[in-house]
Amino acid sequence: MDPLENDFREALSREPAPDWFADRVMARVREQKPQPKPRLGWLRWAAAVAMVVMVIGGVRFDQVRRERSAGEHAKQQLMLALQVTGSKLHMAQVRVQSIDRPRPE
Amino acid sequence: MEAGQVAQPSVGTTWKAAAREEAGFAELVHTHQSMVYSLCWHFFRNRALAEEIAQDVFLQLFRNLDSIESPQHLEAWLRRTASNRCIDHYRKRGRQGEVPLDGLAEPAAPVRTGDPLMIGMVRKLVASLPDAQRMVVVLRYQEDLDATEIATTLGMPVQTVWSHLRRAIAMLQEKAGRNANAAPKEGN
Repeated sequence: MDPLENDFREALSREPAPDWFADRVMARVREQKPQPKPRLGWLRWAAAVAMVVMVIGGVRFDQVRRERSAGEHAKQQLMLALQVTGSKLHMAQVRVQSIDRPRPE
Repeated sequence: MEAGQVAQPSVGTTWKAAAREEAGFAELVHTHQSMVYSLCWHFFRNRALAEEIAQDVFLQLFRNLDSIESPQHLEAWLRRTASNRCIDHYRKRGRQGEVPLDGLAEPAAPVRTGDPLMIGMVRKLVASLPDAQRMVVVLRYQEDLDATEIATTLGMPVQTVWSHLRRAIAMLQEKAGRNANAAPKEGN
């Protein structure tokens, strides 16, 4: 082998890193590691569930309100119909009674 | 050889899973620190700068562990990243760390293998080479890579590597000869 190459190999052999090298690298690695974030996964799920419950509850409330309103309206109409029927029956009764009563001579 | 020793993962886990743990990564650092630090040190001949850049290389490794496919890939990745960081840093910061040949200590006696003076002189001569040539020489003689491996590491054609290597050796021989000739004259 060329003596010059030998000299190069010897002069450029690996140099040991300082004793503290790995410790400093690891200290910097620890600084780089992301800090554990508060776990917000369950909070996100809870918020999503609450939102769904609110939407479903709102829709159901509106549905019940509409049904109740329709029921009230139907009740009023029924009452009116009963009133009309009642007054007509009363008139019919009066007329029937007037027919049955003997006429004064 | 240190480079061949890769952190051995525990049974049933991959080496990458082990490397993600703090102890496993520390083991990787221990295994490869000499190679990475030494590349930087031979390139800059500045211990503080070599340490800073070598640390940055390992930090980059920590962030990019997912992209590493195997222990062999890891070693090549570290070598490539360290080489590129050294060259980039040198080009960005200018030539602050360049060692002028005028400052070289003259060998007091004819150099021979194993001579600390010879070692010091060769290192300083290498540090005085242009950046790409310098890194080619360091990879060739520190890491014992062939031209193809150096080309892959530095992302340059093999012919360019050969060209850098030939020029670098010619330049080193010329500079070493100049220094050796200058020594007796100054002694007179």
